[in-house]
This record gives sequence, structure tokens and C-alpha cells, in this order.
Amino acid sequence: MPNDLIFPPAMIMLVGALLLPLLPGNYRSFISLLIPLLSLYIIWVMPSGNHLALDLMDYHLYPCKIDQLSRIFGIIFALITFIGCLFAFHIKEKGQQSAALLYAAGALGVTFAGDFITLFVFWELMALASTCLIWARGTRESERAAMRYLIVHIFGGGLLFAGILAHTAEGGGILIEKLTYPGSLPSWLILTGVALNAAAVPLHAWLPDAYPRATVTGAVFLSALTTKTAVYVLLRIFPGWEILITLGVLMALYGVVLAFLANDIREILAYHIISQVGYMVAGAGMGTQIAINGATAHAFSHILYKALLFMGAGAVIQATGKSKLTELGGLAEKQPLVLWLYMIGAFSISGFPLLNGFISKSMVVAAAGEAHHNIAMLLMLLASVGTFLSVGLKLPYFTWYGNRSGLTPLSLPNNMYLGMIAAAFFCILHGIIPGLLYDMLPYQAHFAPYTLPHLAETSQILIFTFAAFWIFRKKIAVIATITLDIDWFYRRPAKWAQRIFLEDLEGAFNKVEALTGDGVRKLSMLSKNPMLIFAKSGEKYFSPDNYRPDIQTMILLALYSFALFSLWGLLSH
Amino acid sequence: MNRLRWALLGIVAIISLLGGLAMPHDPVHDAWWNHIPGFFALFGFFGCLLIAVFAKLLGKFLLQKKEDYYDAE
Repeated sequence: MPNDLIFPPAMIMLVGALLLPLLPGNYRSFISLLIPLLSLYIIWVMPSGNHLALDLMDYHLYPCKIDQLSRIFGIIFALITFIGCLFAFHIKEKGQQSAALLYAAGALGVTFAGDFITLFVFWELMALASTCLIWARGTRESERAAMRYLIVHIFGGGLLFAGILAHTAEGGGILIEKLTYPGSLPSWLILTGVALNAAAVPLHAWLPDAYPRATVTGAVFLSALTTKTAVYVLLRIFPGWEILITLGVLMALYGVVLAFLANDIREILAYHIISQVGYMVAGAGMGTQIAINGATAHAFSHILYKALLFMGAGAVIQATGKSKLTELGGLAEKQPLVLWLYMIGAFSISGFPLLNGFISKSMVVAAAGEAHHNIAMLLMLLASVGTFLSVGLKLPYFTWYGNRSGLTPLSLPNNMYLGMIAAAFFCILHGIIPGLLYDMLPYQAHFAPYTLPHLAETSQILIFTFAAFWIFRKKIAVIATITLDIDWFYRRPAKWAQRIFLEDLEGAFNKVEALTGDGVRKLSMLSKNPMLIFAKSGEKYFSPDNYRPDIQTMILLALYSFALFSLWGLLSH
Repeated sequence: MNRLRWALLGIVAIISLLGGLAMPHDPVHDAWWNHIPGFFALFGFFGCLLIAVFAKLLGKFLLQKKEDYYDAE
């Protein structure tokens, strides 16, 4: 039952997104900052429980349900929307501003959904709004990538919806609750739909395909919301599903290997979303209190440092117009502040002590150790080596050092720096005072990240990864290629499908049309003048005068006939 | 990288190696690798090479294509 009247945070974002285009240009950016702050405040103070009950036909919907787990996810979603809007303060396009808030409304709606129908509605809202942030880039490439993105997400939404329908039909009800492992078909359908949004291998290819092609500011929202909402739903519905441990470790490694091959800076970061989300998925799979806490804390930290990294990469792209490592280089002296802020994000994701990645990633790894998943633990540590290699060393080395590209970066609007500074502030704050983050976690669990063995272990890994990179840095240089991924299976055949069903079919139709047209033309010509069958050339229309023999011929014919008959008469006697 | 930074990095590396040797590992989780001295230094170094070499091979023989791969007719 509803505790008291309260305005749901998702509705605030939604109303804000709808009002924004009506406001005059000068106010829009300010309002887009206020709306996430207002949501953040409400999420912060809202007491736990169901705040709203609606009836839809025979179903009771609870669109605003809050507890410890959804509160911390709501807080970070609202906070990152604020930081993203700050980074995008200079953007004047109504569509982009509105889409960002609509997208955040979707994420908050999913987070506070108490029933599957609410969840599904906001799930689809997220897919639509996020597509707009890719579309808004306006290039042909981004237009096509956005279309692929949308199709994949509609497919994922379809799986989720089918799962929800089947779950309800089986008598499972529409309230969101933990599903038991291994579950039946509906549970697996829901899991697949959610896993697609979590970019779980092999349903992940939409992410590195679309995110590098989004707008500079839009990618910040994208990097934060879709995958982490899916992580939240996994933590909520599928904790302890052991298959998620394997899947998560696979994602963690897959992301770092593919990121190593990427050339586009935001593609490298995109693959590292898959890798980092892998830790969270594995945490959900372990399902213990410390694992759930670890996955939640890591989602919180990840959203902050990944947004910071995307802002740093976006700042480079905005200032130089280039996004490939092979075209960048030597920008360190020209962009010192961007470099520093990026490096805070890069050190965070690599798990440097005193930054927020260290205090959250280690929780998931420790949870694996505590549950005696030794191999998973070791592989997650290996993935963190790869993370430092690509995001912490290779990307900055070839962007800001390495070959001099001779590029002169344009100056950036101050609000972009402010957005990055805000994110960097939280990365450092939680790294130094982990308690601030730990106190918000769903379970009361004591975890001490700053122990000497842990510090020694982490610094050994980081220092010797750096050593290997430095020795072999010439060999590690990237080449200008693209890397195939699972999207090959729908992008390449798409070309064949287009050839068979559009081009070849159209060709065949054209051929038949031409042949028919030709036949009809010839037939009509013949019907106008059948004599053309015998003659090579002639008048277009038949006229009897043209083919009437001369009088001399007739007389001659009559005379010959007469002579012939006479001869025959004579001979027959 | 200047000489001072290299020196600092070297000192931190030595401290971390010695720290790893001196400190008793976490009793809650006693895995086999805790008994190998300097395990995580080797792990970092060779893990980095392993990922780089594996990725490069995968890219060279299977995954890396020309940039116009999807657009070329």
C-alpha cells in the first residue's frame, strides 16, 4: 500500500523532458541541470516502500517502489544525468537535451518498477530515447548504427516481453521478485532480454557498434544507463544464477581482448564497458551478500569513471575532430587538463589505490575468492591487467604522446571541464573515503579494501603491467583497421539479403518489365502493320495502297494465266 | 619519463615486492598462488603479454579487416 504521496523520480525526469522543448533556449540548459538534482533529492529522502499503486485492468501496478538496492542505483543514475547535463550544457539542440532526460526517466522508471509491466514500459522508453542520442550525431554512419541499435533493442525488448507474458501465464504474477534457479522457459526469456541490455557476450555487439558513433555528449549518458539498468535487474531478479559467473568472467576477458584491437578511442572504452559489466554480472551470479554489495558498488564506481573516460575521449573528439588512435598523438602539451582528468578515470578503472575502482572491483574479486571460485578470481585479475593495458596505457599513450599528429585542438567550453571535474571528484572521494559508498550498499557487510596484502598485490600487478607495456610499446602500436565482432552475423548477411531481396529482385523485375514492354511494343507494331513480318522495313501503319500491285502487274498476271490455261488445254487434247 | 620518475617507480616496485613477501596473505582465502613469491608481479607482466599476443593473433588471422569492409561493394 502507498505510504504517502510522493512524486516518482522517473515522472520528474519525464515531465522535465517533455517541458524542455517548450522553454526558450537560454533556460533549457539550466532546467536540464535542475531536473536531475530534483530527482536526486527525492530519491535521497524518499522512505523505502511502495509509493504508488495503479490498476491496469486486473493487474495491480507498483510504479514507484524503493528499497536499499534501488535507492543506490537511483542515486547514481540521477547523479550521472546531472553530470552528463553539465558536460552537455553548451548543447542547444532541443532533441538531444530532451532525449537525455527521457533516457534517464527510462532508467529511473526501471529502477523503481515494482512490477513487470512498468519495467517493460520504461525499458522500451530507454531504448527509444537512447537511439535518439546516436541519431543526433547526424552522419550517415551514425544513422545506420542507430538503426541497427534500435532493431537489436526491439528484439531484446521482445524477448523480455515474451518472457513476462509467459511468466504471468504460468501464474508467476507480475510483481518483480527473485526468480529461482534454474527456472523455466519464461525465466530464461526474461534473462536473455535483460542480458542483451547488459551487453552479455554474445548479445553485446550493439554496444561497441553504436556507442562510438553517438554524439560526444550523448555517449556519456549511453555509457552510464543502459547496461547498468540491466545489471540492476540482474541483481534484483537473478541473484545466485550460477551461469552468470561464467558469463561475467567471459565478458570481462572478451572486452579486454577486443578492446586491444580497436582503433577508435570510444570503441576501446565501449569494449571496456562490456569487460567491467562482466564483473557485475559475475557478482550477480555469485549472489552472496558481499557479491551483491560488490556488484552494486562497482556499478556505482563504474558509472562515474566510465562517464569521465567518455567525457575525456569526447573532449578529444570535439577538439580535434579525430577519434582514431592512428590519427591522434602528441596532444599532451596542448590538452593538459583533459589528459589529467582522463587519467583519473583511467587509473580508477584500472583499480589504482585511492580511487573508486580499487574499492569496488576488489569487492567482487574478493567475493569470488570467498566463494572459492579460484579460477574466476584469477581470470578477473587477468582482465584487470588488460584494462590497465588498454585504457590506462595504450589509449592515453597514443592519444597524448606517441607520434606527433600535428593536430591543433580547438578550445572547449568550460562546462565540459566542469562535468569532467565533477566526475573526477567523486572518483577520488570514494577512493579516499570508501565508507561514503559502502554505507549506501544494500547489505550491511564489512569490507576493508586497504589491507597491505591487497595493496601489495595490486601495485605489483599494475607496475609490472606497465613494465611489459613500456618494453613492448613499439610492437603494441595499433593499425588502421576495423575489428569484426558478432555484429558481422547481421551486418554482413544484411548485405547479401539486400542483394538477394532488393537488388537482385529489383533487377529481375526490371528485366521482366523490359521484356514485357518490348514484347508489347513489337506486338502493337505488328498489329498496326502485319506486313512487317515479311518486310525488313516499312511504314509504321498498314495502308492497303502501299501493298496494292500495279495495274500492269495485274494485266500481266491475267495474260500469263490465260496463256498457261491455253497451253494446258492444248496439251491435254 | 625522466630519471626521477623512473627511480620513484622502481622504489614502489621494490616496496610492493617486499610487502608481498612480508605480509601474511588473507586467511579467509588461501589460494595456491599465495605461496609463490612475487606471483602478482609475474602475473602482471606475463598477463599483459598474453593478452597482447593473443589479441594480435586473433586480429591478424580472423578479426581485423580494412576500414571500408562493411561499405565496400
